[in-house]
Amino acid sequence: MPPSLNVFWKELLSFVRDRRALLNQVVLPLVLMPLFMFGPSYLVERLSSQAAAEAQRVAVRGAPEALEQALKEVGLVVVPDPDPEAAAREGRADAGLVYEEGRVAVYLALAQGGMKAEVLKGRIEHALGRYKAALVEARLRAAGLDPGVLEPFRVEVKDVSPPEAREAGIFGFLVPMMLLMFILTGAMPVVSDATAGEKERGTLEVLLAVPAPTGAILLGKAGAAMVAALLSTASGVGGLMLGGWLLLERAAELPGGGAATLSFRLGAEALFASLVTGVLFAAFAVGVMIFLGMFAKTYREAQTYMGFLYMVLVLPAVLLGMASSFLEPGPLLYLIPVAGPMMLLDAVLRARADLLAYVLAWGSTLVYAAVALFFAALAFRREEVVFRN
Amino acid sequence: MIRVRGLRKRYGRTPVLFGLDFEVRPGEVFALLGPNGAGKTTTLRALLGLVRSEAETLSVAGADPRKKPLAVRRRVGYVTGGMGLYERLTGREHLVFFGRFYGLAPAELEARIAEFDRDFDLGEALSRQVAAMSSGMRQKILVARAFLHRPEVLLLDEPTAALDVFARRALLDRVEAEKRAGRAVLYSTHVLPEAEELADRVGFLYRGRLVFVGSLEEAKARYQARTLEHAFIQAVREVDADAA
Repeated sequence: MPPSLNVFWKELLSFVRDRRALLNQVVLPLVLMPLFMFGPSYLVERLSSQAAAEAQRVAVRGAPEALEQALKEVGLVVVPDPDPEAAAREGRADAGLVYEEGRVAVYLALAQGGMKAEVLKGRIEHALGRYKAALVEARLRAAGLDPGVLEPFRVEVKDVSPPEAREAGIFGFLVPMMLLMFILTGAMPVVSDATAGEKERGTLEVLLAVPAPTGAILLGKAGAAMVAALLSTASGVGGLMLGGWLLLERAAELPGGGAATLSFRLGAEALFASLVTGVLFAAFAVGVMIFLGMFAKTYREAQTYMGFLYMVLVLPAVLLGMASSFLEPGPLLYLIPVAGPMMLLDAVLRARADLLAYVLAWGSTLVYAAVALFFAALAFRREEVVFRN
Repeated sequence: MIRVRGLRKRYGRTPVLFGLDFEVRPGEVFALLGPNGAGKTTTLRALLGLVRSEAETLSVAGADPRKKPLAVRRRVGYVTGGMGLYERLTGREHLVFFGRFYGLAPAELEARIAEFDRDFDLGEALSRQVAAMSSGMRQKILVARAFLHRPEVLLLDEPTAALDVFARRALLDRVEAEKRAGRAVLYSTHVLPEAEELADRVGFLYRGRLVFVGSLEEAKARYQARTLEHAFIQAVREVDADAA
């Protein structure tokens, strides 16, 4: 067996036997992603429905009968009260409403009532809107005017984005960041263990004393870290797709039809493009991590050094969020390490990646990966680094 | 088997070895004795080509580790003082992992493992993961790992540092056996009674300099000492006195 394959086998065996790492890197993303994606929206909808179904009490003074009727039609209980503001403040009613000619004051404990108060506010506004519309219509008719004069034309906005882009939702720019984060999360424990962990255990010196080229040892370690990274990513993507499926299946039950949530769906081409991008980024990330890990004396220290990589991911994600809202990214941005693959993934998921984007992002990431692995190999060969203690 | 002339080493601007001269012959145990920080580990690392060094002559098992480190490592068995094993690998997996680097075919590897199981009574250590092993079991695996490929030269760096009394005895007996089998053994330690028991010749390494090289009897005679330990202490005092 070639030395690199032998080291690869050893590293992978250590990884699959590390139950904690397997749970964190492979099992949890699959379980937690659907929960994070679907759970909050579902919870909000459930709470909103409960609040809407509740017969909330509105203390009212001076309201015309038609307005009281409109309030009752949205399921509210109307309670006459001489001081609705005090009633709302003191909790005798969920809200207060005072009607004076030309002015309606609504009293709500918004800062204290949370979502329930927001739902009640929405119901009262809805009732007031209906009453107002009926009043305007009646007055226009009394003046001999067609109520249609208030709406000389109708506005219809249609989304012409490809289905993939629409399914990505308004938080779709987060998906590339999450994919790259899964790669980092998967590779980090394996690289930490294979570099600083080996130093800490005292195995690195023995390993370097075997008749195998240092490059082969490094290659085996990098290969195992990449496999772990891709396993973690596959699990994360599986979780995202499961969460996306849940969202699409139950979109009608969610606020705004699920449009304002994080959704995710990959076709075969996009899956292939994402895989290639992921492999290249994993090679780059593993190279950087090995380089950093070799300078650490302990596993914990290595994790601290590598932790900054997460921060490096956040900045391009923020830029991407802005770019997708206001800016059109230029092709040269695809050459920026980390940002390039993230932008390409974003473009792939929104079905707008062109050949130039692929060439620039893949080509540059390949070069950066080679450079990172070269420096990792240098660190591996430097006795000041290997025997640093 | 090992020939060293004028071995020098510096870490940055700090010299740590000042021209060491010694040799270890086949069937001989040469004990490199010195306190912590004397340069013993650095010497062994230089012999394996793990660190850069300068020397007029540096030959281990017929090759220069500076030019052909892999050729040297193929013929050398190396034991370090720590318990350097992989926690989640079993004893057998350790031996298979390291055996493969020396080009041992699977059948040959299995035969060697069976042989070591017989000689060292590896028993449960073969099937247990290191995390669940006793320190004695761990040491057996460490030694089996270093001897598995039947090296011509053994470099043992503080090999009994983490051992209990039984494991230590087993190791010392094994070194005796290897010596009888014609291996050249460089035994680095600061535990002088071990050297007194095992060594044919000794080298006193102090602050990067070999202040004495010779047989045990020569050491005792030179420093008019009853034991090797007394001889070493006397040698160090003389160096310190000269320096003062």
